[in-house]
Amino acid sequence: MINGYGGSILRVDLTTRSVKREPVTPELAHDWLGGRAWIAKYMYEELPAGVDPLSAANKVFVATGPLSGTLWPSSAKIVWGTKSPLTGGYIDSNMGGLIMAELKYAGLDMIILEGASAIPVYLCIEDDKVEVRDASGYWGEGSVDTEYALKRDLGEDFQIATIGPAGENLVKFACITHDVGRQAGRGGIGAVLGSKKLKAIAVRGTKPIPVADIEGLRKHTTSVIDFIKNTAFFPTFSKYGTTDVTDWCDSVGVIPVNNFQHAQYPKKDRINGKYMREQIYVRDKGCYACPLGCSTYTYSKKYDVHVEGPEYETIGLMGSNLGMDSIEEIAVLNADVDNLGMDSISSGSAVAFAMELYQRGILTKEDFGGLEMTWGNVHAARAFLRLIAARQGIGATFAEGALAAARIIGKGTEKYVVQVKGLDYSAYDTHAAPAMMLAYMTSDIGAQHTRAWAIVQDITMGRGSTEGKGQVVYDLQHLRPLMEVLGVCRFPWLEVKVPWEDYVTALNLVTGQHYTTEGLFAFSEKVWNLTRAFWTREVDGFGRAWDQPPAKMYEEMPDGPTKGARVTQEMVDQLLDGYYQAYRWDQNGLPTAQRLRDVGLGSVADDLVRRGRISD
Amino acid sequence: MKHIIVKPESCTGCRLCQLTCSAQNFRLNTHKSARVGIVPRFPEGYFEVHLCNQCGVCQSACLVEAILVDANGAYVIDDSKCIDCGACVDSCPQKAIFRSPASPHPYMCNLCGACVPNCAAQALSWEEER
Repeated sequence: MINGYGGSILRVDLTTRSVKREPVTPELAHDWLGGRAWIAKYMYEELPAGVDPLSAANKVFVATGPLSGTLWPSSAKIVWGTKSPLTGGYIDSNMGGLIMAELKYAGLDMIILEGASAIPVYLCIEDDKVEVRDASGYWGEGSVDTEYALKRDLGEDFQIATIGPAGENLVKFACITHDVGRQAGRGGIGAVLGSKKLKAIAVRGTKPIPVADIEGLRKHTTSVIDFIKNTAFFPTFSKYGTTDVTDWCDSVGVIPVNNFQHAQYPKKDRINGKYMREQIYVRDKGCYACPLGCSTYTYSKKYDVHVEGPEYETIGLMGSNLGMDSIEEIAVLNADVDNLGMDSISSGSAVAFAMELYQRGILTKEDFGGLEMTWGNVHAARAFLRLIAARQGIGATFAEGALAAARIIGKGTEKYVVQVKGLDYSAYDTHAAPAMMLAYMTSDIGAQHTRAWAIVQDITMGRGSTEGKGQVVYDLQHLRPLMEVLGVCRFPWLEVKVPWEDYVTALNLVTGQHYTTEGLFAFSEKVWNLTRAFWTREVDGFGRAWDQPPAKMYEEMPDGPTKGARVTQEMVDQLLDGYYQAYRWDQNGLPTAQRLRDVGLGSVADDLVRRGRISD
Repeated sequence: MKHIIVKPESCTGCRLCQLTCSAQNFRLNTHKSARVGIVPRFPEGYFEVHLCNQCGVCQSACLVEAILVDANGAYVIDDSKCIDCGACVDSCPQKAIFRSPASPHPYMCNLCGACVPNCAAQALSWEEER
């Protein structure tokens, strides 16, 4: 027994339908903790170099962390990782809900999914009993519908993760859904499950998670919840959640409008958290062990549809970025992509890109099979999303992701796609936000905000300035990804300022070890170098050229609070120089062999040297 | 006499009450040994909260007189008398008497109150008089 851990890793070969349990060793627990660190380690070690993401040789890693499922506030994270079919590089994406606890109750800390089944299957785990079962009866069903169906068939107390039709049809931004509306959204992990014909994972366990000092953990938790309840921002954040940021993003000119052509939205008051609360609110909903309860479960009467959310990213990408009229339209689009099983960020990006091509006359009504892809046309957007999920007509092109679609369409359309490394921007424009832009440029999965959300630092340190921004992003990239190593949510730290040291205390109470902030940050440096090394190994010519911002950022913002703002190549170079310097990488942004050895990745250094990816 | 009152419309389904309860009463990290029950109802979108309200129906239903009221006003099952027949579990109008591997006998809320401060959504609170 290792405190903080279920104790085993489950390895599932979907080709042969065989399963085996491997013990979590004290070394693996102590040296690599869990979550995304385990994923990065196993991915580098076990995936054959250059593997096709949608081939049977790719694997999906599903990992909890030592705090996942514990009493510690917001310990609700489970991380999914694989080689991304959307970007061709490292991807991990995490979800909340309850499944991480259930997995540990079944004695499991990680699942490794290998091979590919010939027929649709799902994985059913009940404590020590594990079966790969026929899923033909669920194939073709929506993500959320499948969750309800499996709960009906297996028992309400099973926790279930599913893919939808988009995952089955290998849409490259297909996601994984759990607990009605929680997604591991980014990078197309759902498509990799689809390629393996794995429709769902259902799990139920009965074993408590071993904790070194449960009474100490209970007292620590109670004192931290008391702290949280007394913070000034708690009532607001627990009520509005991420939607609270909508007005602020509009006021500072970072909300995406019409595919990032503008950054302020005239209909802001019809899509913000306040309006959402008035129009479609049903209930606040919390993840496991979370005192914040930031999620909102809603019902749109206009469209007769329930959905969990919309969250701010969906409000941005599928609302203002598509010119939608109100929160009701966003709710129905959100419900659609949830059940089709597609990332709402990349779905929003794909539709926005299509609408801009329509606006510019590059693609026409005929190209879209009769759909008028005008801004705000919710019916056209809904139909188009269905074409994508089914890979029907022009939907097949956009199912490859917006960047790949642009390369197929040609005509210089790549410049209208707002992405880095093939992963679409989340909902923060960066015409006048250099630190946030650098965060997107250097995130180890592509343009995602959660690795480093640096908009606030752009506002406080100067929006035109690149000075010190490399260091800002470096520092954030050390702390934030640790949350996905430990298996906890970042919001108690980010939104109500629970001190980071309290997390370290919780980790030590759970594990009985003596981790320190300094040691954990050094560990973070190792993991960040490892994911960078994975990109270096997998992508020919990887380096500085892959860390560039979208072409749109070089164009002047025509109006709004950031009117006239644009990015220059000089700024980009300054940002990357400062950033690479902070990591002690070379001028091309590659980790040096020496640096890799210094952070404890000697075998990775040797491997990259042997492959000729870096010099010794 | 103090009671814990439930406002189910405020429950977010986070299970902190159950986790705290299991930690306090059984020294276990799980929500499955708790003396309080949470049942999600979706797609409708609400949570049922099952918690003893000291109505006393179980005491009348008990066939071996194993259910007593302690000094705090909590109903408790005397382990030395309980034969684990389940009559109390079936009788409870609140569905708030539980069984789990943590205990050889059924159990209900003992009014320890550890859950109340940890329910940030304020679905649980103290009430002085019924």
